[in-house]
Amino acid sequence: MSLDSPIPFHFEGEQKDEKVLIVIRAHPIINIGWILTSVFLLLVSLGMFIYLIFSGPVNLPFSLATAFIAILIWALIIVGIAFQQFLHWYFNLYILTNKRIVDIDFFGLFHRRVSQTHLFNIQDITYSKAGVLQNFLDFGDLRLQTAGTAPNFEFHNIPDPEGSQKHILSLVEQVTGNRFKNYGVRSNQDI
Amino acid sequence: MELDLIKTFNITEGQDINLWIQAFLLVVLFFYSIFALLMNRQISILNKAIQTTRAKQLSKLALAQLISSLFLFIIVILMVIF
Repeated sequence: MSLDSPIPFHFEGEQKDEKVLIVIRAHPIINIGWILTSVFLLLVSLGMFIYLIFSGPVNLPFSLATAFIAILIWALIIVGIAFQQFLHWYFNLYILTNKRIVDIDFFGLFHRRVSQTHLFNIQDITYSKAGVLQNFLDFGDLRLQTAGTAPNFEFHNIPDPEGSQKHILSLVEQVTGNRFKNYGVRSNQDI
Repeated sequence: MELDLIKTFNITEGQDINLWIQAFLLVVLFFYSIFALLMNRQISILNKAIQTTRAKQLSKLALAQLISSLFLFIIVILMVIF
């Protein structure tokens, strides 16, 4: 990872001479909850659909066509909610450029927050992996402490937080020209 | 095996439950279509803010969702009318 290997990624507010070096999203495993729920609810609707087709005569208080349409609407709503969950994961990004770190948080349909800090402001990078799942699948949290009153950055559930810490440290070193080892920058690992 | 839901739920004969259910589905579809429209708009805004490789696929998915909801809305209206 170096300043000379940008990736083809662009975002709003990107400066002309700015190169995107790393784009990090949360580990896909965090989506397992809503994926399983959506699949289960879709299977329920499929089961009802199959039952209505292959069962014997059913004395319903409404027509069979209405029942099918209701099942279709149910499935459409489940797909819509699942899509919304996917967008929430997909557009929550941590971007590292040759100049700054940008944290894009997408909270809802029309609610997003963009935080950024220059690489010069980074003073401490700490990662943590807690629990069996995080250690087994190698994902965790990364905390970037910034100088002064600038807000700290926390990257949650990112894959390979140790590798990301090393990459960020390396890039900060290249940009700032400082030797972090000489200044005793901590690299803490919670075991 | 015949399942008699009318007897099971003690529904009075003559009540047009079918129409009420269709009206309910229309209301649900109306609000869902608004949600799909908003999501479509939001994806276009997000794609402008963050240019990803999946921008086109996401836009197409959102559009498909909106078209599906409007299609079902029209189907239910036709069912109510006819």
